[in-house]
Amino acid sequence: MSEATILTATDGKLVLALDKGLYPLDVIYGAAYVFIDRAYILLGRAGDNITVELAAKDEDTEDSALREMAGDFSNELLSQALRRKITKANQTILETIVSQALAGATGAMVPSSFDDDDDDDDDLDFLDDPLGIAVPWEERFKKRGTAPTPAGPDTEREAGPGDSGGFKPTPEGGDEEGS
Amino acid sequence: MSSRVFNKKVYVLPAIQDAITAYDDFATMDVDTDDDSWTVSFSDVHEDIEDETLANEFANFVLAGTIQRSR
Repeated sequence: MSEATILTATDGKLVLALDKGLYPLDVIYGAAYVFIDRAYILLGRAGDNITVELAAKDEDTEDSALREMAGDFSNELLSQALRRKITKANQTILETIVSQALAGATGAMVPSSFDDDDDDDDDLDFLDDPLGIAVPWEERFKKRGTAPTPAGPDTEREAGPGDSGGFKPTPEGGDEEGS
Repeated sequence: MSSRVFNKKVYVLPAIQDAITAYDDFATMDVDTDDDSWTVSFSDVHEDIEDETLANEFANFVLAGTIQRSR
């Protein structure tokens, strides 16, 4: 058996047999839970198969409607099976996202330099520039008085002309634009 | 008298116990246990409720409890 098979369909009650290898119990639970407001459902076992007894809550339900419900149940089984497969495939990603979100919420991922408990920065005026960010690149270069040497494999790389959007100053501060 | 058989590999006992507590006002329920299943028998069912309806609702309640516990 490779699919949901209708074993019996009598007296407004329909019994399906499901291959447990194809539809794990979690999948059957998921589908049954979706249908629990539309039908009375009783699960059982027959050898290696799971049986699903479906009975419509409405007593006037015809056999054709019951069979249609069985078809819907089979579709729901497939939906639940696919959902389970996708969840398993993305489990690592989901766990990573959740763990990072939780860590961020608890502050564990915030670097110590961003810690608000450090009051050293409170003494700074808004004009202070301890990192020298406001100093133009040309002025910094003038103070050194030499052109930047090409970075070798063992030398620490410093900011060069290529880092300033292509601006290439002259060694003695001459103006290339001729103004 | 109606009865329902709950396979031990499909259902969990706490769900059955919860259902017995929930439906205690509507019927008297007896549980028989064997190796594979629990069988719940319903007697003295409330006069306004059909035996089969009560048994079916009880089974759905047990199924919902089992599913919620499995998650």
